[in-house]
Amino acid sequence: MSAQSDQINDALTALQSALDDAANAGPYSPDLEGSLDDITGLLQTVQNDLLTQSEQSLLDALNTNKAQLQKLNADIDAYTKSLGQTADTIKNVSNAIGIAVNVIGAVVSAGII
Amino acid sequence: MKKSETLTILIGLLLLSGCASLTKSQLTEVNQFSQLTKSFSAYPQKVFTTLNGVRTQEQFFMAGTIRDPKKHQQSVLKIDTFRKTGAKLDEEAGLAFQIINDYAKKLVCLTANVYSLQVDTASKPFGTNLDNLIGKYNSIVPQHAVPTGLGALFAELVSFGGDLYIHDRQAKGTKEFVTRGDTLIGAMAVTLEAFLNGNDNSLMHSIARERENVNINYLEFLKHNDEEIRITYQADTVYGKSKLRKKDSLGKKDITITGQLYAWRSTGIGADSLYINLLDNLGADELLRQQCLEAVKSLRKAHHKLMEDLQEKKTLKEIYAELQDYGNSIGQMNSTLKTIK
Repeated sequence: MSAQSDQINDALTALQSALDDAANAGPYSPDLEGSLDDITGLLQTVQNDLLTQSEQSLLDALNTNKAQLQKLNADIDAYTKSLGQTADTIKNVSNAIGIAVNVIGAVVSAGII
Repeated sequence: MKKSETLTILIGLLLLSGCASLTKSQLTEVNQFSQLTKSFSAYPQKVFTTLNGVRTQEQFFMAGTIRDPKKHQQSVLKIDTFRKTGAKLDEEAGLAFQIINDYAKKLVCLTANVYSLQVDTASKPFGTNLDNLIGKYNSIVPQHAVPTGLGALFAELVSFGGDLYIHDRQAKGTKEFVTRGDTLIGAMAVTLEAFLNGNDNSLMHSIARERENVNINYLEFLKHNDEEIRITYQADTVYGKSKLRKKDSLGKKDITITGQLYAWRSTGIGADSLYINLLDNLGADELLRQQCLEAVKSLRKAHHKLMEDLQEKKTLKEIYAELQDYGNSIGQMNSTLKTIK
């Protein structure tokens, strides 16, 4: 596809150059100038299409792995959250035991036990 | 039983219950790799946006050769359509590359040291409270006094045990995710490498073609916009020869279009400087493309080496060369990016 577009691009560029040379050799005729304008317009379209097609083809290729990497990212995210929750749990248990020990200390001080 | 012996036995039990599969330096190495990769996507995306930017501006040379008002208008509208389509594609490409960044960011979070610190912070008050209780117990039952300082010892143990447990889970997760990610990062890198450096559809080809287009279209623009200059030239000649000072005294025959001596005047500083600017940007874009290619190769190699080293329990020192190469590539791309106007 791209190779063909490249050939069209090259052919149009050559045609534009030839017409331009012909126009420069003598006075500009309205017909010649009109043809040159048309070819320039065509060239513009072909060159733009070449670039956008090229970028689109990369995006299509990347998209095949994109979904899988997104899934992996979501899995890492979930795992990291669970890791944070584990650290929180250890922290909470440690705090709770600390508080319980404090309470027992207070009870012992008061002579209840 | 001595305090140190108690601690040793308890630590031993903890170690038996869950052996960490990676060293801390390996987690650091994953973290370092991920920190480098977090900004990676900006560079290949910039190669696209720069090329599309050049193409957009270069088309004004093309439009400038079209005299017919309607056709000229159509040409300008094509520029606008291309600009919008290009921006949309650039955005999509950015999102595709962003996934690699996201992967790196998530690995940074996974391997961060914050969880261990959380456990350490929590265990300290627990130790202090326990020591206070022991003090109170000893004052009530001095005949069965418990050794003091045990609180700090247990706090240390909780901290160590918690840290070990968290580290073990971090290590297992990192190993699993980096192994899974290696195939995907490898595949994305190979796709990108082919696109940056292959034939036909590659960016290398597109940049080279765009350079040709800029040169051809700038020359076409010059050829089609020299009429006013020819007039200036002829008028100057008439003034010089006959020393006429009044514009009214110039007849139609005196301003016949001849010669192209002052063709440069027709473009003015704006078009000429645009031409230079486009060539400069294309040069920088080509350099950035080459650097991106090296960086993508380094990314693939460094990630694969990382995965292998995680399997083999190697240390940071052994992967250093790959990480350094990768870091250098990122640094070079960052310098080039700043030169693009």
